[in-house]
Amino acid sequence: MARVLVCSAQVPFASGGAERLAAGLVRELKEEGHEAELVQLPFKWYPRPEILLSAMAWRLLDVTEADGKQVDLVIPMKFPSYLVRHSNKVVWLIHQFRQVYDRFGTSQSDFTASPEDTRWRELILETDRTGLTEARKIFTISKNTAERLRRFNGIPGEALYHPPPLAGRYRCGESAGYALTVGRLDPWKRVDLAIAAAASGKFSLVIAGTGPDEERLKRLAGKSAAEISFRGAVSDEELLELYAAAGAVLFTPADEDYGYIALEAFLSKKPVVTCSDSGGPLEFVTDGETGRVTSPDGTALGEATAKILSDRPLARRLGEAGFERMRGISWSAAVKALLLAGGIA
Amino acid sequence: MSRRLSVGFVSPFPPVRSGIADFSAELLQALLPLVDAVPYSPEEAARASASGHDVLLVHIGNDPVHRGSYEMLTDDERVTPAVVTLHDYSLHHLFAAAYLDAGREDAYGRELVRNHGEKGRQLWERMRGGARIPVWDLDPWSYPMSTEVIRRAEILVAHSRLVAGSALRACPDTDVVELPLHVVPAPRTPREAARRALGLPLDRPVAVTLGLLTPAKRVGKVLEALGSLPPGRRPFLFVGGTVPDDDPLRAAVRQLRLERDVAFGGYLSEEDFWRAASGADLAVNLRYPTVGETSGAVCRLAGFGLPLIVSDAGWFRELPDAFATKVPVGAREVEALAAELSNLAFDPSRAQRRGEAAAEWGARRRPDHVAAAYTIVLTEAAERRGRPRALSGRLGVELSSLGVGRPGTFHSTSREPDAALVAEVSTRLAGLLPLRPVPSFD
Repeated sequence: MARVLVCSAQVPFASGGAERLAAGLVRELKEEGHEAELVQLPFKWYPRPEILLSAMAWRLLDVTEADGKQVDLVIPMKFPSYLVRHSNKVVWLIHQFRQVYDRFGTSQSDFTASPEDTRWRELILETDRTGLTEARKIFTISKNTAERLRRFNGIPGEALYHPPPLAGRYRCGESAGYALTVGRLDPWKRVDLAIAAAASGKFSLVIAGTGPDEERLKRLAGKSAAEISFRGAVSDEELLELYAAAGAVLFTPADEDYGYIALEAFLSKKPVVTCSDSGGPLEFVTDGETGRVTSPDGTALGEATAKILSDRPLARRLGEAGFERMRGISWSAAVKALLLAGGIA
Repeated sequence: MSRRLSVGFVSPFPPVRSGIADFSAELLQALLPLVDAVPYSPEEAARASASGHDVLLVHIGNDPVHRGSYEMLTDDERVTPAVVTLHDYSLHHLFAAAYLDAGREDAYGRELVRNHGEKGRQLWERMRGGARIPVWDLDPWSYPMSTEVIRRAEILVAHSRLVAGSALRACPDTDVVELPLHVVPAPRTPREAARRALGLPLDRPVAVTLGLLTPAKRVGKVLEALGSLPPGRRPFLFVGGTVPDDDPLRAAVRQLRLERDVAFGGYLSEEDFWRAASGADLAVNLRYPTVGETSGAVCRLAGFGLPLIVSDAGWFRELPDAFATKVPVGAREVEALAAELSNLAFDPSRAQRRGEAAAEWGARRRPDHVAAAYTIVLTEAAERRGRPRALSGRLGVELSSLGVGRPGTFHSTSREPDAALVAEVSTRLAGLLPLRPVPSFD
């Protein structure tokens, strides 16, 4: 039995996939008979010094022991928690501080090319180098995250998949003929593409989730000829039911880290329509085999989704193939890999 | 120490014409009721050091006039402890002008090495080898040449968190205290009389840009912003400071058709400086790039009770939002500047609220308050009661592991982020240390 600390940074009052993943890992470690705790520190990214002060806070913690007993392994998951010092550190990276990497130069980053911001980017790069290269092993939650790490930092990482939060409970039911979109309503999730697709493909769209982009999306939907329903925050059971009765799942984010939605759809035996620039989902969605991959525009997405919704045998075949694609993705495999990397058999 | 503290105050004083000289004269007057302070010019620094004072107070800036102060501070024979107020983080021009211009190249090289170690030695070798080094334009954050001053100070006084952080980054075990530039109460002229005296319009809002005019003041951007506003939403702009006849700013005024909206006032006497402030509704004093300097003019204008528009950079960023609007440098600068110029000029109640906040800020920085804080610091230095420095080593190591103080991937020339970070860390951890009983100025 090992004593393991899972470390993660968290924006207070904001909870999403990363928080569920960290909690899930702790739960699964305990399931396997280990002592596990989640260590979280609040993260604030403004003004700029706060970013690295958070890194310093992790740096100054002593997690080698707890109550006089050795901590055998730490598993940091998010920037800057991997700055924590420990001789046996195995990183399972959800994502870095993306505003200075792949989002730099886009509307999703407020970093400019000024000498000062350039210096902040340098410091964050160096912080990442320090925290990550100390680790015995770096896993990433997806190949997409590993590829960013290689491209921007020259640091290798190995993708280690895990199942979505409700794994074991997803089910497949008869299609009610709608396309489903699930997730936090953030601009970069591009739910507006799904709305445009529904208008173009003339199908019903159900949107589950809330977020800062909600009002804008509702205005867009109000102007659309398609039947679009916003379900807001839904319970686990409602979510399972929405997946079970969907005809297809539309998942159109911009460069998603991983993308539970694709996995949840496949575990519900539903095909996924996604975009060629959606990142993580492309590791699971193969065009024509488990769903459709189109260019990120409403017309192409609408056409592909409408075709699946109108051809039930096709939808069934793609959904079944998606379900098969999920084989081998399990918590026990993920936990075993993490512990092995930390020298814990 | 029951008797009054004996202080050798080394600084330029009037009639030398410099901001530091004026500042020191005002501070000296405020210190005299509290300590026995004797003024010495930098040329007299060695005599000050040998005169048996309890402590030296040395004000130093980026000008060759301070050479004597520097040489006294770095004299290994010095026994009197020194409190050093670093007015500029970069002292490079002090050495370039004092040594290179005087043909003392070896002395300049020695100081490069003393301040910057191997990096300084390499630069010096390149210069000696005939490489063309733009000495006067060397990146100030790369070769500030202030390390030795910081190292030699028993206690270093900085006017900003930025300089305090920079000093700690350069020398993690520095005992540094942040004391503000003091703000003197200013003579006030009735608005209409002030405007008449300077030939300013009586029937529209007036913005002023005052102080030494340099390209870093970005007056061209202010003109662009004015030009982008509809005529009815433009304040009149009065620019104090010398602007030659062939200066591009004059051409810009013509190109932007701002002849009726802008006046250049030339060099302003002390009297006219305050007259201009009296006639103004707001002040716009931008600055970029900066090397962490504190602006005496901005402090005076704020203390006078004018709402400010400043650049979102350097020390200016530390000014309270309650009265200082910080405009970003770069793409959105003119747009943001125009919006705030117009807003402040044509919303008198907002301008008044912000002006009152500025005046309150200034009132907390009166010379007698600042002198009382100096007295505490001087006494500690005289009694050699240093601050505990045990944390600094660990913090230095950890900050370094985040890249602070080391070259980065993109070869950025800025070190402001490094300084800001060090300042934040030191400020937050200061609560863990025994407090120096210096009053708060916030």
